[in-house]
Amino acid sequence: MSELAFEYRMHSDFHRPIFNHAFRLMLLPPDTGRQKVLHLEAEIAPKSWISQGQDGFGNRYFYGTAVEGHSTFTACVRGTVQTGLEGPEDDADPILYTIPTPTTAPGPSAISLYQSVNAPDGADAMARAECLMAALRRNLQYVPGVTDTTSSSEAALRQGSGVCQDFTQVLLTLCRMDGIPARYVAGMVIGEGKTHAWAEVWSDGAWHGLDPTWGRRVNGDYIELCHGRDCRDCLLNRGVYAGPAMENQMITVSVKNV
Amino acid sequence: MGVITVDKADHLYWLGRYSERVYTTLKLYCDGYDSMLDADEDFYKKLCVMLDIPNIYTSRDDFLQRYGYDRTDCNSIISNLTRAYDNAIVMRDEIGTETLGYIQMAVYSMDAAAVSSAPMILLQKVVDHLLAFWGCVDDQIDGYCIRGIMKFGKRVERLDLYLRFHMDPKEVRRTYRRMLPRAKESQLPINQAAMEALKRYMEAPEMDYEGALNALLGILNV
Amino acid sequence: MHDICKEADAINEQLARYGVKFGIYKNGEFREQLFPFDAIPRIINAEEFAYLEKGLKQRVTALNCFLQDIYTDKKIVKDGVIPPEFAYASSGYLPQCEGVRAPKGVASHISGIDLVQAKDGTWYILEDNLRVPSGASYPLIARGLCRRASPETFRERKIVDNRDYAQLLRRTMDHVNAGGDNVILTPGRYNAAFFEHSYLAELTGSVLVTGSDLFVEDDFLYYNGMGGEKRRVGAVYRRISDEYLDPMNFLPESVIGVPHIFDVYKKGNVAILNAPGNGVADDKGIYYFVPKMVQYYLGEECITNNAPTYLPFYPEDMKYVLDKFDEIVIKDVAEAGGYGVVFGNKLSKAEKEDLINLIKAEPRRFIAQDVIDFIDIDIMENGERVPRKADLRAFVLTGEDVTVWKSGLTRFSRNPDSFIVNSSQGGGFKDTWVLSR
Repeated sequence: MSELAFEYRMHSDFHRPIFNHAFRLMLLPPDTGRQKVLHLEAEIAPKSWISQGQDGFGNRYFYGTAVEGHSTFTACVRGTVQTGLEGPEDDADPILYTIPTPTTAPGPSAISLYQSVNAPDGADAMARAECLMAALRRNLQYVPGVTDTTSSSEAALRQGSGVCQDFTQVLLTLCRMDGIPARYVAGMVIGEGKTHAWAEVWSDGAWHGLDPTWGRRVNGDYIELCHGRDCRDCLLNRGVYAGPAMENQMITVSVKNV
Repeated sequence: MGVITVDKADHLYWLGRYSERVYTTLKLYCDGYDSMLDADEDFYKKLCVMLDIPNIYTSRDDFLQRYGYDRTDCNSIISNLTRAYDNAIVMRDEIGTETLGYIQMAVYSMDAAAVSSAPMILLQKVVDHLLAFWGCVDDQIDGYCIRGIMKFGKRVERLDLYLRFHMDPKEVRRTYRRMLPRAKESQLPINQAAMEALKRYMEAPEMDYEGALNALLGILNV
Repeated sequence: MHDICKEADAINEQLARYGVKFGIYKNGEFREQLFPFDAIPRIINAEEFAYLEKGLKQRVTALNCFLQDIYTDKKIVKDGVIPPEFAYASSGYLPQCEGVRAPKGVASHISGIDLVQAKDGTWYILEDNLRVPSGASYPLIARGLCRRASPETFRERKIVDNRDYAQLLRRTMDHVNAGGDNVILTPGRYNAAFFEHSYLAELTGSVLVTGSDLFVEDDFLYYNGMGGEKRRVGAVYRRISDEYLDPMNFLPESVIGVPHIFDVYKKGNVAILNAPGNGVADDKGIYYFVPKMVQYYLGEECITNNAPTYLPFYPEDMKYVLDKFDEIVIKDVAEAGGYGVVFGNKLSKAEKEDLINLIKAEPRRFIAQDVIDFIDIDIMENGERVPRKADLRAFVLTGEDVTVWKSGLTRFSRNPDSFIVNSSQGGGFKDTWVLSR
């Protein structure tokens, strides 16, 4: 068990004032079997009406609208979270996470990769998933900037490169081909300076985290923010506004042991 | 009917203005059509000056065709009627299907006139439909403010055109007086300074058409 | 007996007068077209309608149960009645709706059920439309004009008046209204069904709005009046599709939606008709399971008939599809509006091979049906009666109770060789008479 303190800071500059700025920030870490939130505080500027909501996967978020004109927008969330717990499973239904989505549907590259893997028969889902993870890491290089949040696992695999989002989606594709329910997790990890993504697989009646980018099991260094079927379900921040302006967004994350 | 949205107020105002523009310019067009038969073939050049539109026409017949019916000529009567239609079609829920029908029929008659050998007869129908439209507005629209906005648009447009035409000052002042109560009824945000200026122009012994027109252009706060 | 067909021109002239049109895009340009009306009505006698009414009520009730279940308890999947693939891989399934119970248990408030009648008189359900079914306004306005043009006809025949549709719709909105005005949300003037949006707003006394007229503040939905006064909205009859409804919850790129409207809906502060997520129940693949739903949720035999349908997903059905390829019609589950419908016998050898390979590769994407020999309905063409394919869209409104509108939209194909009656493909429409005895 560890206790982590985190800070997520998002800052946007607009080159000209905007208004009616609607936003949704999926920055409320949930209590799960593996983590427990001890303390949380958030600041959002400029002045807006703010509410909290919950999506279909059980993720909670802030949302609201800054009506008046503004040319900067900042959101800062700080908190402390107990991690690495082995509590009872949150009320999760794996059935949703067995079906491919448009960005995780298998294509020729995924099929041929899957066929090349010799996962041990009779092994539990977690062991099989680890085999699949090892195989995908041999076929994918970490290269920033070659994909975006709409990229599919097949596209990443075909070009052989991507970032944590793509590593995760490829693992989801392979697990689901193998009949293992698997879901996408967006969150934060010690020492990265930005947000991270990894997978959870359903094995022995519980979710277990696997980080294909680092090739390891998820441990007490990780804080979950939200989960879903794929990257599109886990967009951490959304915004729409009125006014023709260019946006320059900076996101910084820090996670430390308390 | 509850309160209406800002966009809808805008559509109603311009529906009033464009349908009036079609009505008044159509009368001018018909008079011009008549004089160009045998009295003054080049009368259309004077009409262009009066209407304050560029004379892009090559002849009497070119003017009669394009100024009347050409949708690619942005100053043509059909273009203005189309604008009235565009503002009406999005207001069916407020002005009602029955009322909207008259604008629709005006469009059909205008298109029929374009290809007719007796266009003046069909243009009379356009005028009939527009008059019936305003009758329907008076008869069927309950919303005081909805009707007020449309009629304010109509009166502003007529004053605007009469000032451009340098119409007899007596007629201009009468049109101005008919506009005043509509300004209040419409509940639109009126620019009081422009309203005061317009009043001074109307009360001056000599009519300053350009000055009055400028004041009229600023009458709504946007 | 008086012949209403003699007045066809007068009726069409009236329809033109009132702008009864639909919009289409041709070569990238928007055009409004009159919706051609054929004066020969479809006539459904009282007994036949009583059967349809009973069947449609049952069907829509079961579909509403399914919509509630699939986003919450998922009993029907857990009990093995519907394979999870069919529920969750459907493009109409929206995970955003997980856990959401539609207010008062109604997800499909306005259902448009498409039917055809076979030569032996049997009615078959073609498809269920539970998202934003359109078309009721056309027979609604046409009826009034027919009565005006041919009064004798309505004196002689006992035809149930259908002009109560707006009241039914109004009641349906009021039933779920969470406090505030009723509005109809349209994508705008350049939508194919804009006539209907504006006409129904007029008749139901709802405010016609676009997404930019509406805004959310502190978890309530409002629109701005002229003087800047805020008016609360209690029910939104939205005529834009789920994906575009709310850029904060669905497609982030949407510019015609209302940010946060879905959150406000989930908090019970506004009703949305029809509920988001209904696409999961009117998917062509789910269609196959509707009789099973009736059985499962209501414990009754399904009264309405599905056309005999095969899912290549099941090996025995795949075998049937391959064996009878030339006698069946193949439908792509993802397509709508009469597109993606292929008759096996109309394909060249190469096309046939390609399609079979596609079906084998993506069996979930296709359904196959036996070709039903429809009854043709006569239309007038150049002064002559000629038979054409036609279907019937019945409208079922669910509020306090379930009501089948005693009329419907009968669409026909003007092309004698076409089975496709969709208005976006150049068809026309007829009035649908339900006789009172």
